[in-house]
Amino acid sequence: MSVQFTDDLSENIKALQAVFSGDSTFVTRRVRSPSGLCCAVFFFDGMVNNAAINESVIRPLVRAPSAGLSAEAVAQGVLQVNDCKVVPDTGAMLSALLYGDTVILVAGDRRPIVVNTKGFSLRSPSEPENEKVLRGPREGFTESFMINLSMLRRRVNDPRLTCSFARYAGKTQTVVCVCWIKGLTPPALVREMQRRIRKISLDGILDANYVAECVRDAPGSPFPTLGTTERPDVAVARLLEGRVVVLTDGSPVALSAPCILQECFQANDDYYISFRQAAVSRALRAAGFLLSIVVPALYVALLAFHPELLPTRLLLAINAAQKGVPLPPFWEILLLLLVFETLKEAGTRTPSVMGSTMSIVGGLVLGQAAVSARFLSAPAVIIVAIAAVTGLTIPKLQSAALVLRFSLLAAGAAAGIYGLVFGLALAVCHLCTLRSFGTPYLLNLIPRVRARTADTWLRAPWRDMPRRRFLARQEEDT
Amino acid sequence: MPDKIFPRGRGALLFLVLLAHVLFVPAVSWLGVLCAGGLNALLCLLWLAAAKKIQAPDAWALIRRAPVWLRRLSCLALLLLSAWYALRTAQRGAIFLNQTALPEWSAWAGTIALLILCWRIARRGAPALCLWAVPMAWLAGGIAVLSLVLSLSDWQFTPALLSGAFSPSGVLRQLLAVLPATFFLLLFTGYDADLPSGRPVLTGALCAAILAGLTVLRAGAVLGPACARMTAYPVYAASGVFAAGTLARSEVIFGVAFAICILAKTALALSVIRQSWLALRGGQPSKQKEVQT
Amino acid sequence: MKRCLQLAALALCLLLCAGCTSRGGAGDLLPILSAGISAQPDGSLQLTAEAVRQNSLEGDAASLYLTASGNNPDALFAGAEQLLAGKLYLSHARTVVIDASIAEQGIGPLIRALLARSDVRLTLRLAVARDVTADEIVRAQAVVEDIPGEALGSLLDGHTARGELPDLPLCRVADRILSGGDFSLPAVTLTGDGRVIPAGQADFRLARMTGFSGGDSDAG
Repeated sequence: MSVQFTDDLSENIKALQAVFSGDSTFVTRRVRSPSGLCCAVFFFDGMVNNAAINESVIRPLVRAPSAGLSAEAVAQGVLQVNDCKVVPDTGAMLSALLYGDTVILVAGDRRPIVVNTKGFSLRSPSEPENEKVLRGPREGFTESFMINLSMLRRRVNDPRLTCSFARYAGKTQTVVCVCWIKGLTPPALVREMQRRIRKISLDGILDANYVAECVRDAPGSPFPTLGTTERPDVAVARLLEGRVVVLTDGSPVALSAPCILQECFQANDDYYISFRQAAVSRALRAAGFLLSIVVPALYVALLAFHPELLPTRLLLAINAAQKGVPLPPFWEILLLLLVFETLKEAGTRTPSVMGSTMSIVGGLVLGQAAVSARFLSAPAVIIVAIAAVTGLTIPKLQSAALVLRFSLLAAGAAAGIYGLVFGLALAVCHLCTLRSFGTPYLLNLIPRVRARTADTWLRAPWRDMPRRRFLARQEEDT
Repeated sequence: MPDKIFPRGRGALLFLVLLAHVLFVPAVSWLGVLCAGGLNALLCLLWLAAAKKIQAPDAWALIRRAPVWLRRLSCLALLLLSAWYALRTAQRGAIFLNQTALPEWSAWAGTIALLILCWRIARRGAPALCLWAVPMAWLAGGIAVLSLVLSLSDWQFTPALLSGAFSPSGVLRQLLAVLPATFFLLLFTGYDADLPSGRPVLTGALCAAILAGLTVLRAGAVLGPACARMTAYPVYAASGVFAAGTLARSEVIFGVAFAICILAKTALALSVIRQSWLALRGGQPSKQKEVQT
Repeated sequence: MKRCLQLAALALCLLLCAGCTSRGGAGDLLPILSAGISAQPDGSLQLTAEAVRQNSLEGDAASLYLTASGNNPDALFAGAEQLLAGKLYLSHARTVVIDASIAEQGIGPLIRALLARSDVRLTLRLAVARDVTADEIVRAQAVVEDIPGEALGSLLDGHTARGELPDLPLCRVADRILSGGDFSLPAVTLTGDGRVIPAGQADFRLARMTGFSGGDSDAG
């Protein structure tokens, strides 16, 4: 979309009004000062700060000292705004106008002036729902990338923090901003991220996930190869480790790269509580993830293939529980897992007023009544409950846990414990081949030469981790 | 970082592939297994010394330097040898699983399944396979060591354990059992000034030899030499004799450790197939598009 | 995506070929905890197997006894399996008691029959019934445990751990028989009120019992 301006103000007004014909929110305000200066002010109602326009644009224009001023003269000497510039590129001018800036056309000059008068309403920073902490900062990113950038700048008081952003070419003209710290982040990483973003060919970007799915490595893998966070402290921590952070306008989610597996087991709390507590929590999370993916498959494998491993009393109890249940253990567990996933999905979509009702239906009706009616056995319900609860300890690996749980269940049902272990071996092989922007996904977890264990399964005290440049560690680790 | 084989992974893979044959070893030849493992380690060191002398990063580099006809002949021979070895290893593993825990899986179905699984592991090349071997070696080795430690109270040493434990033919037989796997691994091993492989390779080979010897000794000590001789898989059967807490008959867990070793051995052979095929076609394995950080 | 679908299809074929989807759970199995092999007057053998069943989670485990006859151990096991819809599951069996008369004839065939079964654990303990039949030993009520088979197994394990009875599980018995060595097995008997107690040991040479020793009286 473009528009051609001339030196004739009336023609310019008509041309710009033609672009937005039919749009009732597009406002045109003609100004004629007593000194004879003629201008036209354009903006979108609801997108601008009306007080700023009145005080900083209209009033100074009305009081302009003389007529026949050029656009620069008006921008530099008349307007009383902190951010205004002459923008000859009409494409950029239109984008700015659509984003809440005000455009001023001066008679006798075809170049528009763009003034920063953004005033659309934004959500105030609040703690992200999905990344709550017991101790530590409670700020979260919002949908405005400028506010998000300001949060980063406040925390990284270093001139080397660089933010490079560009409007993404598409119908939404979304700004995508790449941030890094010069001297910490490898330049090749920054270039690669920018290259991948430029290659995105969607017609619009509404959320950071659009960018994530287009730029990530191994898009088919259930394991995340791009980090995500809604917290500025986490984003800054990743910048300090030598990563790049990508902010997307309109999304409170910041992306970071590279992403390695050990991050998935780290929680924000780990760095704000004592290292001993953090170590225990992290170990529990890792154990929880393993239990979540293995327990259903192990149950089926033991019952179907290796009952000799079960102690006699346990075998008798399970036999008793399974009496009258029509389904074999594999189908029982599969059905329960599907029901659980359905309940989880329903819980996400349910309005909060109905949430407690759904909990009662899910817990009592499906669980208790199904067992009483001998549709399902109690051990199967317990096993799936264990898998479900432990799976919630690692939110970042929910997708991976879902895929692995079902895959290992099938493997365990097919070949017992051998099938389960072969499935795990295949999963480990997949992880070994994954990379995130050139960084091995299992960095630090499978040591190559020297293991860097300061912040892997356990967190070392802060006095032992003065520098956090994990990417710099890669060079030593080879 | 470019894809390369790190020494620790190499040692881990060697450990796994050298342990795989223990499942099929007669229980009284523990001393022969130990000696053969030691000799094998010596052969590995000899190869590494030779590679350092001729500055060869691996055997494939030597093959690439050879005349075209020789390169093709050697690649074809390696391809056929490794294909036969992979099939044989997978088949033995499938028969073991069929006879012990998975009677529903016929030998042919199990062989195909194992080959497909190992191909999935091996298709990304030797660097990924060696990286995969590190956690697998810890898992398999950990299970085996734990099993040995827990069964210590059930060991009974008799003079019959020593008779037949060592014979030159027995040592030779055990050495021949491990040589192909060692040979395949050494194809990917050579001289690298930045990443010396000597210590990890030696560690892997010796750990495998000691663990193999102890495992075979355990079979004879727990079952008795005569009973062990008549058991189809004495090493496997002996691992189920002890009870740990309420857990009895845990030989299948021990079997898992060796199943991982069989996977590693088959995957190694398939890696050789892949590399031979690529060398035969005169190409290089495609490197992953990556960012040089 | 296409590759994933291909792999999934292949996995499904293999699963169906392996017949694993129809595999039931442990509910099909009737665990045997102890067994006794007695001699019949007509010279045939009788197997008394103690199976354990628990009808509900709230209920207790209860024993039920199966008997089968045959001319040799293989026929005994086959006969027992014919009684059951499922398989005779000896994996949890801890003890096999043998009549003294059968022990005197030789336990080689029994050992071979037991070793041929993949579900028999190699730590299975063998005992010889002294002055009573094996059937009576197996059916005797337990003092401490509610399952007689578990009580019998615990009794023998406890006494062998203290060195009061010979510690020879099935694998070591087989080893001694194959190597032609002598060995001894625990002997058990019943008290006046029908409880099982250790009664010395039964001595074997070339897999045949030569007599009892230890316990209340030394048998020649």
